[in-house]
Amino acid sequence: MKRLVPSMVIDEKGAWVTQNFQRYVYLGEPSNAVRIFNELMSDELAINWIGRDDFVRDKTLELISAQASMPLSYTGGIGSRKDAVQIVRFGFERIGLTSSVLTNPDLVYEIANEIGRSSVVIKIPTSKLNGNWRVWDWKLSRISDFDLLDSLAILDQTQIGEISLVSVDNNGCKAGISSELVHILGSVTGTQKGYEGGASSLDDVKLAWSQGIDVVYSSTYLMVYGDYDAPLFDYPKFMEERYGS
Amino acid sequence: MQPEVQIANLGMGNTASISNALLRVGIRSKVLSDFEIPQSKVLFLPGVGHFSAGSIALDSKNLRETICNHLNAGGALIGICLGMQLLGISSEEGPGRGLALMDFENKKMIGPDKIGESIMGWKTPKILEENWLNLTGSERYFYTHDYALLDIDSRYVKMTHESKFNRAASAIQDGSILGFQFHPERSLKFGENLLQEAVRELNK
Repeated sequence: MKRLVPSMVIDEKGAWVTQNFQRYVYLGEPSNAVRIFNELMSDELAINWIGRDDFVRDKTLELISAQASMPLSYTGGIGSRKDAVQIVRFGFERIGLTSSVLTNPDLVYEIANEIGRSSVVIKIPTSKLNGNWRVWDWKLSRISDFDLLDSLAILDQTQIGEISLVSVDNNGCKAGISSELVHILGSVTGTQKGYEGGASSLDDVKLAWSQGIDVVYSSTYLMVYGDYDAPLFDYPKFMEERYGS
Repeated sequence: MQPEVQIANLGMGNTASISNALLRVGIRSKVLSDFEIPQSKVLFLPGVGHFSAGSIALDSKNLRETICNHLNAGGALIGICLGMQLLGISSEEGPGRGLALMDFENKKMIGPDKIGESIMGWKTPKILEENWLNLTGSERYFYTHDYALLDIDSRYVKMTHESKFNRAASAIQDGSILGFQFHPERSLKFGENLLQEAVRELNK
């Protein structure tokens, strides 16, 4: 079944959505978002940690896990097998690795051997430079030297649970999905395909699904409303119809 | 106040998730300390991860003996995800022994090209026994697994789910031993209702 997943950024101050990974819109307490998405029966909830204080992170993740009745995925700073296991112990089902795996591809196998291939997600932020898609370096907040197509070809061989692309240019802009990136994801064969960035409506989500994307992550569309970016959580009732209940 | 159910702790995830899901349907639970003897009739065995790591944890936390004694004393057991796979004898995932409470080996899901297949996401399983746990057949649950019960004796299988190339057991039962391949604790109201029904049934 195709999935639509609210995706939010978390740090010591609370929950946020980002625009182009540069501007941040405050959503409030993460636990509030979890409670609302429980009621709205979302398919999953994606948590992206960008803070620095591991103690606060751990307490926040424990709280989120305690409240959530939907599956949880976590991305942020996973640099070792031990890091991944710790997050799983908090009750998160899926562990996201970012572009750092390109410099340490063995990490994918180490973590997959511990928690299972299906529980591992590789999330690659990407942006265009001189007409070529490049991998975005989250840590340095700039485009890296890694070519996206070459990187995808390598990562596809890992056969892990999911490979997702995040459009930095469309992130948080409600500009619609990047059909070019969706097309590029079509080259991924050995795993589920995810896309994040720019969805502004259920039609956008359905379009991505119809073009072979298994899971669409969305932040602004599901969590921010109006010209002044007011936090307002929503989730389409269509999902109930889709699942026939 | 005594907990209604207890949860064995493999140290491999989701004990807190199970406990919280149970609490949402009004069932008090307690996570067992290492070497603690269960006091409640229903014991959960949840887990996320590699079969071999689970097998080692069964030994290091004395859970083989604890679970065996619990069942011999008339207790019931519910395995979830890896916990269900550990009810069997072994797994193609790696070395190590399961609890051997049921006669099956966990198999790798593969397609015709021998490439491994993963199941990740929501599925509505097929119910093989009418009115089992008062399920209607419209419930959906969250799955994430690479290995599965593909050829277990059909009399134990209560629900099945399918991937592109494989059909696997979703839920199994042998008397007071029950197993779910999916994650009821992360399956919204569907999973919470199922946990409630399972506990009620096994507490009879």
